[in-house]
Amino acid sequence: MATLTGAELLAAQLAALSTLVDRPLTDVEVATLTALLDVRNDVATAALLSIGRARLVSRTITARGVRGALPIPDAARFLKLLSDTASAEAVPAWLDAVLTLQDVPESDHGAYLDTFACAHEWLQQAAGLDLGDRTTRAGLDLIAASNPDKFGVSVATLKAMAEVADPIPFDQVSRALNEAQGLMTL
Amino acid sequence: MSGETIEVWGTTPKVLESAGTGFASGSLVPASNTYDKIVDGGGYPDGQFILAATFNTAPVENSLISLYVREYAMDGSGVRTDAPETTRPGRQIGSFQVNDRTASQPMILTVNDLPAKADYYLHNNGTGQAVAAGWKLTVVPRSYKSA
Repeated sequence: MATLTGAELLAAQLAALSTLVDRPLTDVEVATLTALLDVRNDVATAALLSIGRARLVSRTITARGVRGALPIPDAARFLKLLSDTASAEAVPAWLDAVLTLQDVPESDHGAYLDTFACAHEWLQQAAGLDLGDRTTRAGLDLIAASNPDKFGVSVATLKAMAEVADPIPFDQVSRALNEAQGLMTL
Repeated sequence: MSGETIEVWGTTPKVLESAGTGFASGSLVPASNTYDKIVDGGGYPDGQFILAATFNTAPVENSLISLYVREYAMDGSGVRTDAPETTRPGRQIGSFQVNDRTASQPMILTVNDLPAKADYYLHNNGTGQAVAAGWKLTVVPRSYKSA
Protein backbone atom coordinates (compact mmCIF):
# COMPACT_ATOMS: atom_id res chain seq x y z
CA MET A 1 0.00 0.00 0.00
CA ALA A 2 1.31 3.42 -0.91
CA THR A 3 2.12 5.74 1.94
CA LEU A 4 -0.88 7.86 2.79
CA THR A 5 -0.71 11.55 3.53
CA GLY A 6 -2.06 12.68 6.87
CA ALA A 7 -5.35 13.80 5.36
CA GLU A 8 -5.71 10.60 3.33
CA LEU A 9 -5.00 8.48 6.37
CA LEU A 10 -7.57 10.33 8.45
CA ALA A 11 -10.16 9.97 5.71
CA ALA A 12 -9.43 6.26 5.37
CA GLN A 13 -9.67 5.72 9.10
CA LEU A 14 -12.93 7.63 9.42
CA ALA A 15 -14.36 5.65 6.52
CA ALA A 16 -13.28 2.42 8.20
CA LEU A 17 -14.95 3.42 11.46
CA SER A 18 -18.12 4.40 9.64
CA THR A 19 -18.17 0.96 8.03
CA LEU A 20 -17.55 -0.66 11.39
CA VAL A 21 -20.52 1.03 13.05
CA ASP A 22 -22.61 0.77 9.88
CA ARG A 23 -23.74 4.39 9.86
CA PRO A 24 -22.38 7.80 8.90
CA LEU A 25 -20.32 9.53 11.58
CA THR A 26 -21.67 12.81 12.93
CA ASP A 27 -19.71 16.04 12.70
CA VAL A 28 -19.27 16.04 16.47
CA GLU A 29 -17.89 12.50 16.37
CA VAL A 30 -15.50 13.34 13.55
CA ALA A 31 -14.15 16.31 15.50
CA THR A 32 -13.49 14.18 18.58
CA LEU A 33 -12.22 11.20 16.61
CA THR A 34 -9.67 13.33 14.77
CA ALA A 35 -7.85 13.95 18.04
CA LEU A 36 -8.18 10.36 19.22
CA LEU A 37 -6.93 8.91 15.94
CA ASP A 38 -3.91 11.16 16.01
CA VAL A 39 -2.65 9.32 19.11
CA ARG A 40 -4.42 6.03 18.26
CA ASN A 41 -6.35 5.89 21.50
CA ASP A 42 -8.41 2.91 20.38
CA VAL A 43 -10.08 2.40 23.75
CA ALA A 44 -11.51 5.92 23.78
CA THR A 45 -12.44 5.62 20.10
CA ALA A 46 -14.41 2.46 20.80
CA ALA A 47 -16.09 4.08 23.81
CA LEU A 48 -17.13 7.09 21.76
CA LEU A 49 -18.61 4.98 18.99
CA SER A 50 -20.39 2.76 21.52
CA ILE A 51 -22.52 5.55 22.96
CA GLY A 52 -26.17 4.69 22.49
CA ARG A 53 -25.49 1.41 20.73
CA ALA A 54 -27.99 -1.27 21.68
CA ARG A 55 -29.02 -4.62 20.33
CA LEU A 56 -32.31 -6.42 20.66
CA VAL A 57 -32.77 -9.47 22.82
CA SER A 58 -35.77 -11.70 23.33
CA ARG A 59 -37.76 -10.35 26.26
CA THR A 60 -41.23 -11.72 26.79
CA ILE A 61 -43.81 -9.92 28.82
CA THR A 62 -47.35 -10.65 29.99
CA ALA A 63 -50.17 -8.27 30.84
CA ARG A 64 -49.03 -8.61 34.43
CA GLY A 65 -45.55 -7.54 33.35
CA VAL A 66 -46.94 -4.52 31.53
CA ARG A 67 -48.71 -3.46 34.70
CA GLY A 68 -45.44 -3.86 36.59
CA ALA A 69 -43.40 -1.93 34.06
CA LEU A 70 -45.65 1.08 33.51
CA PRO A 71 -47.34 3.52 35.88
CA ILE A 72 -50.89 2.39 36.73
CA PRO A 73 -52.78 4.86 34.47
CA ASP A 74 -50.41 4.28 31.56
CA ALA A 75 -50.63 0.49 31.85
CA ALA A 76 -54.42 0.66 32.01
CA ARG A 77 -54.62 2.88 28.92
CA PHE A 78 -52.19 0.70 26.98
CA LEU A 79 -53.92 -2.57 27.83
CA LYS A 80 -57.37 -1.13 27.17
CA LEU A 81 -56.30 0.03 23.72
CA LEU A 82 -55.03 -3.44 22.94
CA SER A 83 -58.09 -5.11 24.39
CA ASP A 84 -60.49 -2.84 22.48
CA THR A 85 -58.53 -3.32 19.27
CA ALA A 86 -58.38 -7.08 19.66
CA SER A 87 -62.12 -7.35 20.16
CA ALA A 88 -63.04 -4.93 17.37
CA GLU A 89 -64.90 -6.38 14.42
CA ALA A 90 -63.58 -3.71 12.06
CA VAL A 91 -60.28 -1.84 11.94
CA PRO A 92 -60.59 0.90 14.56
CA ALA A 93 -60.27 4.52 13.57
CA TRP A 94 -56.93 5.05 15.36
CA LEU A 95 -55.30 2.16 13.49
CA ASP A 96 -56.79 3.17 10.15
CA ALA A 97 -55.47 6.69 10.61
CA VAL A 98 -51.93 5.74 11.55
CA LEU A 99 -51.65 3.09 8.84
CA THR A 100 -52.93 5.54 6.25
CA LEU A 101 -50.35 8.08 7.39
CA GLN A 102 -47.69 5.45 6.81
CA ASP A 103 -48.97 4.66 3.33
CA VAL A 104 -50.06 1.14 4.20
CA PRO A 105 -52.61 0.04 1.58
CA GLU A 106 -56.12 -0.07 3.01
CA SER A 107 -56.43 -3.65 1.84
CA ASP A 108 -53.73 -4.59 4.38
CA HIS A 109 -55.26 -2.85 7.39
CA GLY A 110 -57.18 -5.95 8.37
CA ALA A 111 -53.96 -7.91 8.64
CA TYR A 112 -52.66 -5.38 11.14
CA LEU A 113 -55.84 -5.74 13.14
CA ASP A 114 -55.27 -9.48 13.19
CA THR A 115 -51.69 -8.93 14.39
CA PHE A 116 -52.87 -6.74 17.26
CA ALA A 117 -55.40 -9.41 18.23
CA CYS A 118 -52.58 -11.95 18.39
CA ALA A 119 -50.46 -9.63 20.47
CA HIS A 120 -53.27 -9.13 22.94
CA GLU A 121 -53.85 -12.88 23.14
CA TRP A 122 -50.16 -13.58 23.74
CA LEU A 123 -50.07 -10.98 26.50
CA GLN A 124 -52.67 -13.03 28.36
CA GLN A 125 -50.65 -16.25 28.06
CA ALA A 126 -47.78 -17.33 30.28
CA ALA A 127 -45.37 -17.38 27.31
CA GLY A 128 -46.09 -13.70 26.82
CA LEU A 129 -45.36 -11.26 24.02
CA ASP A 130 -41.77 -10.86 22.83
CA LEU A 131 -40.75 -7.20 23.04
CA GLY A 132 -37.59 -7.96 21.06
CA ASP A 133 -39.54 -9.25 18.09
CA ARG A 134 -39.45 -6.81 15.20
CA THR A 135 -43.11 -7.22 14.38
CA THR A 136 -44.01 -6.53 17.99
CA ARG A 137 -41.86 -3.44 17.97
CA ALA A 138 -43.43 -2.24 14.72
CA GLY A 139 -46.84 -2.63 16.32
CA LEU A 140 -45.72 -0.69 19.37
CA ASP A 141 -44.48 2.08 17.09
CA LEU A 142 -47.93 2.27 15.51
CA ILE A 143 -49.48 2.68 18.95
CA ALA A 144 -47.02 5.44 19.82
CA ALA A 145 -47.60 7.16 16.49
CA SER A 146 -51.36 7.13 17.03
CA ASN A 147 -51.01 9.40 20.06
CA PRO A 148 -47.44 10.24 21.09
CA ASP A 149 -48.55 12.20 24.16
CA LYS A 150 -50.64 9.33 25.45
CA PHE A 151 -48.52 6.34 24.49
CA GLY A 152 -45.05 7.61 23.55
CA VAL A 153 -43.40 7.13 26.91
CA SER A 154 -45.10 3.81 27.56
CA VAL A 155 -44.01 2.39 24.24
CA ALA A 156 -40.46 3.64 24.74
CA THR A 157 -40.36 2.01 28.18
CA LEU A 158 -41.59 -1.32 26.86
CA LYS A 159 -39.25 -1.31 23.87
CA ALA A 160 -36.27 -0.48 26.08
CA MET A 161 -36.91 -3.65 28.07
CA ALA A 162 -35.67 -5.68 25.10
CA GLU A 163 -32.59 -3.57 24.43
CA VAL A 164 -29.15 -4.20 25.90
CA ALA A 165 -25.98 -2.18 25.51
CA ASP A 166 -23.90 -3.25 22.53
CA PRO A 167 -20.46 -1.66 22.92
CA ILE A 168 -17.85 -2.11 20.20
CA PRO A 169 -14.79 -4.04 21.42
CA PHE A 170 -11.74 -1.86 20.99
CA ASP A 171 -9.83 -4.63 19.22
CA GLN A 172 -12.36 -4.37 16.39
CA VAL A 173 -11.54 -0.67 16.21
CA SER A 174 -7.82 -1.46 16.19
CA ARG A 175 -8.22 -3.95 13.37
CA ALA A 176 -10.34 -1.61 11.26
CA LEU A 177 -7.90 1.26 11.70
CA ASN A 178 -4.80 -0.83 11.09
CA GLU A 179 -6.25 -2.28 7.92
CA ALA A 180 -7.20 1.20 6.73
CA GLN A 181 -3.62 2.29 7.37
CA GLY A 182 -2.13 -0.80 5.75
CA LEU A 183 -0.40 -1.90 8.95
CA MET A 184 0.35 -5.52 9.61
CA THR A 185 -2.15 -6.58 12.22
CA LEU A 186 -2.87 -9.82 14.03
CA MET B 1 29.48 -26.10 47.25
CA SER B 2 30.98 -26.74 43.87
CA GLY B 3 30.06 -28.46 40.67
CA GLU B 4 26.41 -27.51 40.77
CA THR B 5 24.84 -25.75 37.79
CA ILE B 6 24.67 -22.00 38.06
CA GLU B 7 23.45 -19.30 35.70
CA VAL B 8 25.84 -17.10 33.84
CA TRP B 9 24.86 -13.88 32.09
CA GLY B 10 26.46 -12.23 29.11
CA THR B 11 28.16 -8.96 29.82
CA THR B 12 27.34 -7.31 26.50
CA PRO B 13 23.62 -6.85 25.93
CA LYS B 14 22.59 -6.62 22.28
CA VAL B 15 20.38 -3.70 21.38
CA LEU B 16 17.76 -4.95 18.92
CA GLU B 17 16.06 -1.57 18.66
CA SER B 18 17.25 1.68 20.16
CA ALA B 19 14.39 4.00 19.17
CA GLY B 20 11.51 2.21 17.49
CA THR B 21 8.67 3.85 15.65
CA GLY B 22 5.31 4.04 17.42
CA PHE B 23 2.93 1.21 16.74
CA ALA B 24 -0.81 1.00 17.21
CA SER B 25 -2.83 -1.55 19.11
CA GLY B 26 -3.13 -4.72 17.09
CA SER B 27 -0.18 -3.98 14.84
CA LEU B 28 3.18 -5.70 14.45
CA VAL B 29 6.54 -3.96 14.00
CA PRO B 30 10.09 -5.20 13.49
CA ALA B 31 13.07 -4.38 15.65
CA SER B 32 15.96 -3.01 13.60
CA ASN B 33 18.71 -5.47 14.42
CA THR B 34 19.15 -9.22 14.07
CA TYR B 35 20.22 -11.32 17.04
CA ASP B 36 22.75 -14.07 16.30
CA LYS B 37 23.14 -16.38 19.25
CA ILE B 38 26.76 -17.21 18.33
CA VAL B 39 28.00 -13.82 17.15
CA ASP B 40 26.06 -11.62 19.55
CA GLY B 41 25.39 -14.00 22.40
CA GLY B 42 28.63 -15.94 22.64
CA GLY B 43 26.71 -19.16 22.10
CA TYR B 44 24.61 -18.68 25.23
CA PRO B 45 21.34 -20.50 24.56
CA ASP B 46 18.87 -18.30 26.40
CA GLY B 47 18.16 -14.61 26.61
CA GLN B 48 16.45 -12.02 28.71
CA PHE B 49 14.58 -9.44 26.66
CA ILE B 50 14.15 -5.99 28.14
CA LEU B 51 11.58 -3.72 26.56
CA ALA B 52 11.34 -0.08 27.61
CA ALA B 53 8.21 1.53 26.24
CA THR B 54 5.81 4.35 26.95
CA PHE B 55 2.18 4.97 26.07
CA ASN B 56 0.59 8.37 25.49
CA THR B 57 -2.55 7.12 27.23
CA ALA B 58 -2.60 4.38 29.86
CA PRO B 59 -3.04 1.00 28.14
CA VAL B 60 -5.33 -1.81 29.22
CA GLU B 61 -4.01 -3.33 32.44
CA ASN B 62 -2.38 -6.75 31.99
CA SER B 63 -2.64 -6.68 28.22
CA LEU B 64 0.37 -7.90 26.27
CA ILE B 65 3.15 -7.00 23.93
CA SER B 66 4.13 -10.25 22.27
CA LEU B 67 7.51 -11.14 20.81
CA TYR B 68 7.71 -12.92 17.45
CA VAL B 69 10.75 -14.30 15.62
CA ARG B 70 11.65 -14.52 11.96
CA GLU B 71 14.31 -17.22 11.83
CA TYR B 72 17.34 -17.66 9.60
CA ALA B 73 18.43 -20.97 8.11
CA MET B 74 21.73 -22.10 9.63
CA ASP B 75 23.03 -23.77 6.48
CA GLY B 76 25.17 -20.81 5.53
CA SER B 77 22.80 -19.62 2.85
CA GLY B 78 21.61 -16.63 4.81
CA VAL B 79 18.01 -17.24 3.85
CA ARG B 80 15.29 -16.54 6.37
CA THR B 81 11.61 -17.19 6.59
CA ASP B 82 9.30 -14.80 4.79
CA ALA B 83 8.41 -11.62 6.61
CA PRO B 84 5.47 -11.98 8.98
CA GLU B 85 2.04 -11.41 7.50
CA THR B 86 -1.29 -10.75 9.10
CA THR B 87 -2.41 -14.29 8.48
CA ARG B 88 1.05 -15.81 9.11
CA PRO B 89 2.78 -13.90 11.85
CA GLY B 90 5.49 -16.47 12.54
CA ARG B 91 6.43 -17.96 15.86
CA GLN B 92 5.61 -16.21 19.09
CA ILE B 93 8.20 -16.88 21.79
CA GLY B 94 6.65 -15.00 24.68
CA SER B 95 4.86 -11.89 25.86
CA PHE B 96 5.52 -8.89 28.04
CA GLN B 97 2.80 -7.94 30.50
CA VAL B 98 1.72 -4.32 30.31
CA ASN B 99 0.99 -2.01 33.21
CA ASP B 100 -1.77 0.59 32.88
CA ARG B 101 0.40 3.67 33.17
CA THR B 102 1.93 6.17 30.80
CA ALA B 103 5.39 6.54 32.30
CA SER B 104 8.13 4.47 30.72
CA GLN B 105 7.86 0.92 31.96
CA PRO B 106 10.54 -1.74 31.78
CA MET B 107 9.09 -5.06 30.70
CA ILE B 108 11.16 -8.22 31.03
CA LEU B 109 10.82 -11.59 29.34
CA THR B 110 13.28 -14.47 29.72
CA VAL B 111 13.20 -17.06 26.95
CA ASN B 112 14.88 -20.47 26.91
CA ASP B 113 16.55 -21.87 23.82
CA LEU B 114 16.37 -18.92 21.47
CA PRO B 115 16.58 -19.39 17.69
CA ALA B 116 20.18 -19.51 16.50
CA LYS B 117 19.67 -16.37 14.46
CA ALA B 118 16.51 -14.36 14.03
CA ASP B 119 14.86 -11.01 13.50
CA TYR B 120 12.43 -9.95 16.20
CA TYR B 121 8.99 -8.39 15.95
CA LEU B 122 6.71 -6.87 18.55
CA HIS B 123 2.93 -7.25 18.46
CA ASN B 124 0.89 -4.66 20.34
CA ASN B 125 -1.47 -7.31 21.60
CA GLY B 126 -4.66 -5.62 22.78
CA THR B 127 -3.27 -2.76 24.83
CA GLY B 128 -5.84 -0.46 23.24
CA GLN B 129 -3.24 2.28 22.91
CA ALA B 130 -0.35 3.05 20.61
CA VAL B 131 3.15 2.39 21.91
CA ALA B 132 4.91 5.73 21.60
CA ALA B 133 7.90 6.15 19.31
CA GLY B 134 11.24 5.69 21.01
CA TRP B 135 10.81 2.22 22.49
CA LYS B 136 13.95 0.18 23.12
CA LEU B 137 14.45 -3.58 23.00
CA THR B 138 17.57 -5.26 24.35
CA VAL B 139 18.55 -8.88 24.88
CA VAL B 140 21.01 -10.16 27.49
CA PRO B 141 22.43 -13.64 26.81
CA ARG B 142 22.08 -16.32 29.48
CA SER B 143 23.69 -19.71 29.92
CA TYR B 144 24.66 -22.22 32.60
CA LYS B 145 27.95 -23.57 33.88
CA SER B 146 29.32 -25.62 36.69
CA ALA B 147 30.18 -23.70 39.81
